[in-house]
Amino acid sequence: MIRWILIDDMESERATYADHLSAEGSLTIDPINSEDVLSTLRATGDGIDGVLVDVDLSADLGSKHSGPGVAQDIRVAQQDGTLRAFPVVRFSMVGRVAQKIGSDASSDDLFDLKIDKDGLTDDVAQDLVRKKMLGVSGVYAFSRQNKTTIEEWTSLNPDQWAYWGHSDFEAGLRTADRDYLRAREYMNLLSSPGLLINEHLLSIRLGIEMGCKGWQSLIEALQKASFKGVSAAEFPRWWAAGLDDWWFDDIGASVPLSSLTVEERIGTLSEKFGDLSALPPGQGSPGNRPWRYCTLTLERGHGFLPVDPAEGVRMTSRRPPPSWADPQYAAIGPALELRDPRLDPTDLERARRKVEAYK
Amino acid sequence: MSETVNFIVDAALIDRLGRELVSKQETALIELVKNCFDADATNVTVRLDGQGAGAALTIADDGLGMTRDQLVNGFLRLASDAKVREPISPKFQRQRAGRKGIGRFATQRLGSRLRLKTWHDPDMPGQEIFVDWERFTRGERLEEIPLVIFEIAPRGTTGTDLEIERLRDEWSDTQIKRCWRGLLALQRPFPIAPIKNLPTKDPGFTVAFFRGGNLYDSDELVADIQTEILDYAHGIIDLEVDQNGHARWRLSQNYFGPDRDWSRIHHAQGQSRAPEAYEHLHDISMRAYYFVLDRDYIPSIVYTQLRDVLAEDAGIRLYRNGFRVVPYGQRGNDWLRLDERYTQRSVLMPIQNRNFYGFVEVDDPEGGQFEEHTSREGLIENAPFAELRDLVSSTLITAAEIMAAQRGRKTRAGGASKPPAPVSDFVRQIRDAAKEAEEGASQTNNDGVQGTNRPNYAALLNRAGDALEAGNAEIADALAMLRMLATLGLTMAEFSHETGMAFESAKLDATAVFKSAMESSPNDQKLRARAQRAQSMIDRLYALTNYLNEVAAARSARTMAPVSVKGAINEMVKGLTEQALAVKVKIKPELPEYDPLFTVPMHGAEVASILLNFYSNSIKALKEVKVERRILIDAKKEDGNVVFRFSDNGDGIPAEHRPHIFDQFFTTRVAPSTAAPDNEQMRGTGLGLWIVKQIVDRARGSVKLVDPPEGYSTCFEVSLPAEVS
Repeated sequence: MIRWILIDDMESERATYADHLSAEGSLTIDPINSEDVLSTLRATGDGIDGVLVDVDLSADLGSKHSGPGVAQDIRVAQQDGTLRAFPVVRFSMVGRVAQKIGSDASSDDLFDLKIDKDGLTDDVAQDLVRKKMLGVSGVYAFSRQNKTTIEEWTSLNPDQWAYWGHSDFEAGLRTADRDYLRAREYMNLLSSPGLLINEHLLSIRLGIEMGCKGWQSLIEALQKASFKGVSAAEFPRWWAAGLDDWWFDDIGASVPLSSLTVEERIGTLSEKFGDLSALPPGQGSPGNRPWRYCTLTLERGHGFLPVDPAEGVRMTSRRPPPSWADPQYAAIGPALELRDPRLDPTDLERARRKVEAYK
Repeated sequence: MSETVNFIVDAALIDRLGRELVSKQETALIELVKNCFDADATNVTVRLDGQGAGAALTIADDGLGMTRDQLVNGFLRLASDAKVREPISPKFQRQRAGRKGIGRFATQRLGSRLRLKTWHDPDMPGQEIFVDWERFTRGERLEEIPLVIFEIAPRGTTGTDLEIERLRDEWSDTQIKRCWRGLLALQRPFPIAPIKNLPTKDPGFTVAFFRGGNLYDSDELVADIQTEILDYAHGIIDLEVDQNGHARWRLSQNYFGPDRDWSRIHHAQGQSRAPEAYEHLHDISMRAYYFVLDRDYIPSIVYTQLRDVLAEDAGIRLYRNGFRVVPYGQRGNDWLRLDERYTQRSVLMPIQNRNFYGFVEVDDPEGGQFEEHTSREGLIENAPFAELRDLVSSTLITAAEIMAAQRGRKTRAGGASKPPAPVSDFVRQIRDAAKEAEEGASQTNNDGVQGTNRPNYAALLNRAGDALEAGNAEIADALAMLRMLATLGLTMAEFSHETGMAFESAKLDATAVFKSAMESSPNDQKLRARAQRAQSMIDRLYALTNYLNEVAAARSARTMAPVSVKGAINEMVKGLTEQALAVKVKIKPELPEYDPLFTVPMHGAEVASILLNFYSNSIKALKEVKVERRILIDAKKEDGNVVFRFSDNGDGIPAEHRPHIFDQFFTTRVAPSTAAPDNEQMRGTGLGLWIVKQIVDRARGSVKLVDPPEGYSTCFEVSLPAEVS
């Protein structure tokens, strides 16, 4: 049984979320407030497999805590060995994060995952959160076994890693001298698209609508490129370079996938997999060679909007992303409407001119 | 063995009926005058003679009088139902006012001795009976106290005299005046047309009140009120409910603008042009004179007199079958909750009782609608009474709102108003007055002549003081409104956020409860329907709460920035689609794919306010549409402007209303009754489109009604300057 703690200052709310996200027989969640949280965690000893924490804990009596404050205390305790390594996940309403954290990225490294409280009413969304919690617990459990090699973590042999991996990630894993640091490094690999891509990004890159009739057979055919590392069951991923290899080796293409239009991609794939549906065009996202997704749309909880990088707007983060991670993009429509300061001004101006030209 | 027994009536019953059921001496007197009316009298004199223990009250009428049989089997018979059996008076066919047969015991309430003289035939002897109420004491059997009837000489006229001696109460001048007013009020001070069931042959009914030879004559005062007071009213509000319950009202002799002809009304169907009939109410007439107690609108020579008289006597009185029912419309009685609403400042235009002088007439001969309390002090508050109160208050406020709008005053807290006249205007008046005073003084000094051109300093100061007072009142109103709006805004921003947080987890729990309930009783169709209904309502509330959160968040932003009209429309559609579908309205946005349509810098919530106002109007306009209800919102950039149009296929805006739709307080709805909750009071104030226009004007844009697209009936077009690149 995996045991998590949910730290929230609102008693009813924390009880509700703990109740709904627990899974009989596999996952139990204890709701607590933030008062004396470290003592509580220490008293629980090795029985904790993870912590969910809200960013706003201001309603707790006598507390000056915030979610990032609690996370920092836990990380310090994990650093000095008074707490064992377990994941810390930010669990908050989108609006409350915007209010309390805003664009301050200084707490980003403290959290393994960021899960929104909003929209958890349907079973699918709850299952997804549960899987993530079990997955990240698995990552930390593996890390506590003092596993340090790439092969142990990713199930790729050194030759494959040389083609599909990145030396900077390997260096990061090697230099992480604490269980929680190794786990954090690995969670980065799973969370940030770059070396690995999730099913949505796979769909975008293939130009095929996710879940369409022939989708499952396509996934099975991509077995070679699928990720088989720690917690792969909870975090279904595919090696980005593995997809390219599959495209050339198994499909027999001569032109890179990224340079083809959706019609060309589905044209090639349909010959082998039959009943496939083309990825529908994204509202406010022109171009027909989708390869990325719109970060702004995803952050606002509106799902994965495909972006053709030639027609998108680049985004810069306040903290440099890992060298192996993909650059972030926004689709033109949301970029022009939301005017996020992270948007590249040159790209934005170019987008504006394009829109004028579309009229 | 068996034995026959009977109820025994204790003589103390008389005391109970007389002293306990009629608590006030004024009420007792009114009851006695009602009996005169029922006896077809045309003149009644009430005379109070003497003081202290020797004081006596005589009520003399010229009615039909009583035969011996009527005296014995009517007057002396307790709880006689003669008036119930014969609700119409024999001579003038009047609808009788007294019904329960206890009015005569009012004499016992007033004094301990009664001498009744009555003549049924002018040329025949009359009857006299003397009753010493002090003999009717506890322990005595009622039927065993003998009363003797004497025959008295003919007096040449018919009628009845009641001489009440050993009065139980002192009658001070104030009480006499109060009683006199009460008696005056028994008769309608002015006619309502049509007066039903009163044959023209009835010469009417007058009451004169004497004390020791001093005359208080009702006729004179009625004339005074008519000529000296009512002529200064600013409008006459008439209301009628026909025999089928259909209500209509009109506004005439409107001082501030055009009259309103008869139109249908129902207080609970404010937006409907063809409101339904009342369920319980029928056969009602009302006429009310409306006064705005403002020196700008009333000649100064009568202002003080009018103000004092209205403070004393104004209000809406209630007459049932021709007789007044107290305490409705008496000073201090707020049966229509007008003073209460005004005090709460939810309605800012003058709608206190002192602003209305009028009465409601209820034609209810069978007593099927209304029932008086046995104490004769008010009606039982049944369903017809509640409808009457709501309808009358709604009608009065609707009329007052129209007149307030016509003279440009704000009507409700929460609505903006024309800015109050600056205090500097009043300061200038004081300076002018001082200058006038100074010039007067210097003229005296230079010319050595005193008094010829000297201004009246006291009058000038009074005028300036009045002006300052009026200015202060205006500013106080504006401040009250701003305070309320600020509080409302802060509360809304704070609580909408907290509500959103709680809603998320509540929805989570509720969804799980519905699901497990349905799983545990898979065949319970009723439960399934309920759960689905509740789930759907929660989803709708969820979407609405999220939208309001975003609007509240935008409202709290104090800086101005370019606003994406496309974004604002998308957010509104997302937030209100479910709510609209619940009333079978489909919202269709037609927006450019890429252009966010940024305006010049504005407050984020302003565009949301424009859209919400249009939406709210559309939903009302679509209410009675039987075909598919549609709203279309399209937007584009055009000649340096962001142009968006809001169309619906509702019942359209009548041509005569079009020139006024952006006017402050212009509304076609009927005001809610005073009993309606606060949120109802704040709706449909005629400020929505005015606010839209203020926002658009400030952004240097335009808003107008334009030809709607095909398939739609109304289309508002807003043009806002686009952001300059």
